[in-house]
Amino acid sequence: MVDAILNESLSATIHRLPRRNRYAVASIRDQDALEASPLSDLLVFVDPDFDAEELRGTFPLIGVAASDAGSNALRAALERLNKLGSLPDVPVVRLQEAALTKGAELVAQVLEGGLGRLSRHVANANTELATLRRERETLFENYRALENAFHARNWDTVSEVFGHGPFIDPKDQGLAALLCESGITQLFPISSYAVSGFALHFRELPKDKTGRLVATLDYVESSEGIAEWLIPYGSIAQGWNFFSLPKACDGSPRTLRLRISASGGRPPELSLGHVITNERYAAQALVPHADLDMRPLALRIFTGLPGARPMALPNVFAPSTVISGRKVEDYRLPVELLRAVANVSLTPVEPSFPTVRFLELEDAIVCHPLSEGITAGAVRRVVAPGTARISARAVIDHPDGKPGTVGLMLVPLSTNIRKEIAALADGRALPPTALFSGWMEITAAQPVDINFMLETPTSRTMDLVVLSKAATDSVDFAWLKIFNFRLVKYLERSPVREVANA
Amino acid sequence: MRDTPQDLVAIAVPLYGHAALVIEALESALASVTDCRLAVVVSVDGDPHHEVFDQLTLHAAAHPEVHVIFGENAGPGGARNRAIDYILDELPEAKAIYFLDADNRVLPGTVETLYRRLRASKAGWVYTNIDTFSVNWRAHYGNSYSRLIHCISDNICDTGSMISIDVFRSGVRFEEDRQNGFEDWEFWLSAVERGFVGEPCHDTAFEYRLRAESRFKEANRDRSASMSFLRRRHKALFRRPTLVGFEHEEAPRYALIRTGEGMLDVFTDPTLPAGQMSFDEAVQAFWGNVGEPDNVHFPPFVAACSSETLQLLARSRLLPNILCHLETLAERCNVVSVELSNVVSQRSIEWEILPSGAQQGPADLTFVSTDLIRNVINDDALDWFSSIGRDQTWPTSARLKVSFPFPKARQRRSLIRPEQALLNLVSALTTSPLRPTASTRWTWRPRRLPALSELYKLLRTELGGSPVLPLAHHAGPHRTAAVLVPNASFGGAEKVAYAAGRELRQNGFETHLFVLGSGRMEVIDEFDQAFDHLHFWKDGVPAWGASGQFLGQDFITDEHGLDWTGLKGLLSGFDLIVNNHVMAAHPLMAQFRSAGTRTACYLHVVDETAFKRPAGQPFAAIAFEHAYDAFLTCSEQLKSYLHSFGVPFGKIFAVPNGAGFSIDAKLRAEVTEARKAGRGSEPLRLLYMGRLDRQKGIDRLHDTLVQLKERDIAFEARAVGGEILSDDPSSSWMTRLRDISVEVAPPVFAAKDIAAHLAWADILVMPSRWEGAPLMIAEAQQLGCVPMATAVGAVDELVVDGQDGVLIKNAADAQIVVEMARTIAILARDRATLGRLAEGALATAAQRSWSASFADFIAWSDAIVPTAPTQRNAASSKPAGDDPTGETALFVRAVA
Repeated sequence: MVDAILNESLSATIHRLPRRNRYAVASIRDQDALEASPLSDLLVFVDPDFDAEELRGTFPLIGVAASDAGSNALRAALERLNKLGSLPDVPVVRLQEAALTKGAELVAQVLEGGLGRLSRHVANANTELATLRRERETLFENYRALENAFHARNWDTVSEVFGHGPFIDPKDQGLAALLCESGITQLFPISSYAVSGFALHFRELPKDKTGRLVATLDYVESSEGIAEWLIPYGSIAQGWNFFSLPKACDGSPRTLRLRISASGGRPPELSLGHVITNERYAAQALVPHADLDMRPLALRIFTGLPGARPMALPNVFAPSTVISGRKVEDYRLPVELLRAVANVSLTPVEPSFPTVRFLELEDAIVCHPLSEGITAGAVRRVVAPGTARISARAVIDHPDGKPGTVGLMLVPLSTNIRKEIAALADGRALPPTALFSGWMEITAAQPVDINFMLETPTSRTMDLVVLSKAATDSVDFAWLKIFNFRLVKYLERSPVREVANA
Repeated sequence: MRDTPQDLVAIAVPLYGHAALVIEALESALASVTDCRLAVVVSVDGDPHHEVFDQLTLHAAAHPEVHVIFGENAGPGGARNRAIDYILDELPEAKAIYFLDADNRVLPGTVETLYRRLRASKAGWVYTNIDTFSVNWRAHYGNSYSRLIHCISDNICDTGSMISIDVFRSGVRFEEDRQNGFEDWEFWLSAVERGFVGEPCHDTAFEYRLRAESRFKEANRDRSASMSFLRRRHKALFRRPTLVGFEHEEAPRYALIRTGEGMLDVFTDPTLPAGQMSFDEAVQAFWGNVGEPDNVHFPPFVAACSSETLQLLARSRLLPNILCHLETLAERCNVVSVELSNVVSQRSIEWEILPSGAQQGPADLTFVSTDLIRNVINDDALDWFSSIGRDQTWPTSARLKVSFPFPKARQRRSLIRPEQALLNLVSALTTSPLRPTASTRWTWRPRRLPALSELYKLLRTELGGSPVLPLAHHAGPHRTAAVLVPNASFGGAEKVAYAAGRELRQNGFETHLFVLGSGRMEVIDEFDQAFDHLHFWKDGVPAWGASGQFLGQDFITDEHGLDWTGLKGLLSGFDLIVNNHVMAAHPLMAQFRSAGTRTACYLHVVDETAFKRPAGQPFAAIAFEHAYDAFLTCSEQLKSYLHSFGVPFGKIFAVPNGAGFSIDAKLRAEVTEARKAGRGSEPLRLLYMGRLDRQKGIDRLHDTLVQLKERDIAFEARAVGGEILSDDPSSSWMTRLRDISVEVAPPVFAAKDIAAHLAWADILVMPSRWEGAPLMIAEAQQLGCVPMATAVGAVDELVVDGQDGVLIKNAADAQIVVEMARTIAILARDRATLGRLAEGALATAAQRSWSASFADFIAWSDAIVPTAPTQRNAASSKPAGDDPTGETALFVRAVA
């Protein structure tokens, strides 16, 4: 706002935008003379008997007088202001009647221009200062922790600080479907400080190992993300599996929150522990599930050197992504949005059946490839700024379905989608604003998981386009369905707010 | 573009002494990620560092959402109030205020998370746990908010909380008196007093900078003075009914298993709607309380009985008192059994302690402490405990025998014994799958709150009493009055106290009778409905004590070894206490009075020792004159007497005694007709009613009757009363009276029996040596029986000689005997005069009523305003009305 004011001519600014803060004081005796001056919007007029207990929105940097009487009265009033304690001595400038306007304009220019530049500079410096001070605190704390460890000759690479063993209840239904549909959240029952890893227990592994387990760890109080693990089902061992953090948690002790979900086929079966009384620390899911009633995940938590695998644990998973303090939002695309899919196919073929449509009962988009061109369905405005990953599962839902290829594309809202599809069809490079996952081959025998990871999170809202095309000469029964759309969004810190009473 | 404007949240930053840190606070606030609009109001509290001015001038210029107030130094409370007033004036659309101290920081999501929670919860404020930095310290402040903990334990909410603007609109502000180091705690208590409650939020936190020395530390050094300040300033919160009400809703003291219903009632006040727990929930709460006692509550006492027994107890008006006895006994032995008996004419509570291995029959109610259950489970002693369901009980036990008149309706018999219901619960707890994991605490922040199930002990400490009477404020603007009596037989002093209770009840008080020093009470139909609750406390309350002397008279001092905690637990928190001759209660009155109770002392008679030294209750009371707001006397004479000892007239209400029973219109008409008709020349009927002892002048009566016989006056005489027999039967007054043909009848107490005697007699002879203002005179007059009494005490205020009775001048015994015989002889001859006197007595009685007698006292007590915090509906910001339904029940949350 200060910039806006400074970019306009002074008089226009003053008359257009009444100021909330006032920087100059004058005596009420000079009010008539000064009110018409360029200074008027910056002035607070004070009575000689002025005895306020507080000043609201007033920063008296300078006193202005248009008469001797006004000057004396102002000085008396400023004397009284000393009791507020915080105010510095305020210089009083006596403006001569003959050059009142010019003098006032000069004062206003100094106040507005100088103050604007200084405040802008200081604001930046302050932001930097706050960050530096916070970093220094963490450095100090970590330095001391290292020093303590050194003196204590604490060379243990890793030690378990909490453990809650698995408990298999014969009545358990299993969590596999839940992991695919919504995911599970588990709070850690110890402080985050110095945690370097955790282990989860899997009691059963699937035969079909297509799919990934997605685990994210963040802090509850600040929602800051720590790390994300994308673990192919095939890497998971029966029993305990160790998830290593990129570094031991530092800073203020906070509550750690683990979110686990799966993308793909039937995931490995996570083990739950015994029942506990504190329901806040029981595993939670958006969808009610009988197994979770008062039971946390079987869980072990470790401190020590990051990356060091605890003895007797068969494997270690390093994070796929270090989120470094960003807030992570992992969500599934609502069905209502998929319902609005529009056919934007680019093909000379005119099929006798709808190739792109939403299947109500299956919550899936059909994108049947054609023998020529690209079949495409666009879902408008569903990719929010900050999206870093989109995943979905695709299947050719007919035993005799011919193979095809499938892909996802993101395009800015203002883009002509068919033009981008044409570029893809021609093998031309897409403009930098459009993002393409690449083609994946798919057969009726095997569903595929599309994991579209963006190099940098999107900076604007975009359209999502599902694409398919033929892989062979025939597309008979190639009923390609795409479903289970899942987006991961990183939220940056810059606040976007309206300003109160600005 | 948004269709609706975003909510405005104000962040108030008081600033003094943190010039070098405030920028961090402001930067953290401005970095908030929220859907709300933010306004940051910095209230500079006369900070002498000009650096503050420079910083804020530049900061406010760069950030239009930053508002700055420079003010005179007014302390933290004053600075915050200045910010509040600014926000209410200049930012009226603000929905909430978050207080951020200038040396603290918020996390990016703090404001948004807290504001969302505030909106969803409808609480007055939302607070977080505390995580400090610089000096690391953490505190977990519980999974649910408790007003009880907040009042009597510690401040559990930092000012770094999101506070609804409604709190400030209701007038709540910070205390500006800097002598009080707990201005933040005081603020929350003000909000609680206005009916607001807090809500914890564990999903976010703020960054609390803690240095080696802090204002909090400084305040804690003078904690006792600050606590006294809080108690004085918030009397309404620290009163027993308020605190018990909080306990009832937040940490109920009792769990009651209703046999055969599979549910537990949880409550403290048995007269309020109870919360309910299933067995499953009870098991979870029990084990939750073991591992996380600050988060999960399980009542510290468990009882079992049938619904029918519970209803019976509720209708007995004794239940709160029974619970007090049960608490006390459960702390002296393992198990307490209650045995109920139907006795029409009496209420009583008696108990006996039985050793291990005692034989006892089935109980109507069984009561144990939860500590015992824990020990049984930990020590694997279920077999030992199970013997409570058999004939021979191995745990030590107490048997509480409660007698009272049962209602006429037939009670259903329960087919499941309460002992078995209790055993079922203990078995369920023992075998629960939660048991193996219960000892692990999952909440990682350290516990800072007391165990919820121990709060009843903190409450005892707070009130200085044990056990604490489990009665809370009840719906509506009811004031509460406690009438204290030392015994509850058929004496006149008790009846007058009952009459006082009846008048108070008729004038809107919830009335409680405390029989202190006795465990029984005779049922007197006339006054049986005068009290809403009846309480007995026998042990440790002596009728008389002499640990100090005042004007040579005995009084009880604080050093006396009586059961002070028992009395304080029972008696604290009433709006009015009328002490009717309970000597042991005098030393407590000043404490009750300073806590907001109005105190009154009811006195009836100045006694005499054998050496005729004036003695008795008035002197024990006058020693505590300053502790009473009012005195009640039965006569103008006693009023003057008290005044002569320094009690101002303005504090004394002379309440003329009325009759101890009332008669219906039919009986009154019959009696009037009979008296008018007269009995011709039939022998005169003389009646004496009362103890056959020296005070009542039984020797004078004997001699008078002998003289009448000698003078050959025809009369029939009847003496109704008892005497303390000596070893020598010849000295018995009963024998001696019978020897002169007097019909001697045992004492009667029922109104109809007394009325029958009085209706029979022509003259009631009362040759007492000393009296107060005997009720018997008024009772005789209302039946047209002419009272003939020695003019002692305030008798002359009840009898106008020659108009509605006969006064015999107090003189030597011989003179009195002669005068009485002479007067009776005259009336025996002059039946017309006797008839006029009878009519005069009836006329006097017709004008006399207890309501008229108590009118001035009732007018005084009408000015008593109940001291209670505002009740506010949970789902609205408006104070609740009188309707007790629904909303009250909503407050009773599950204890798990």
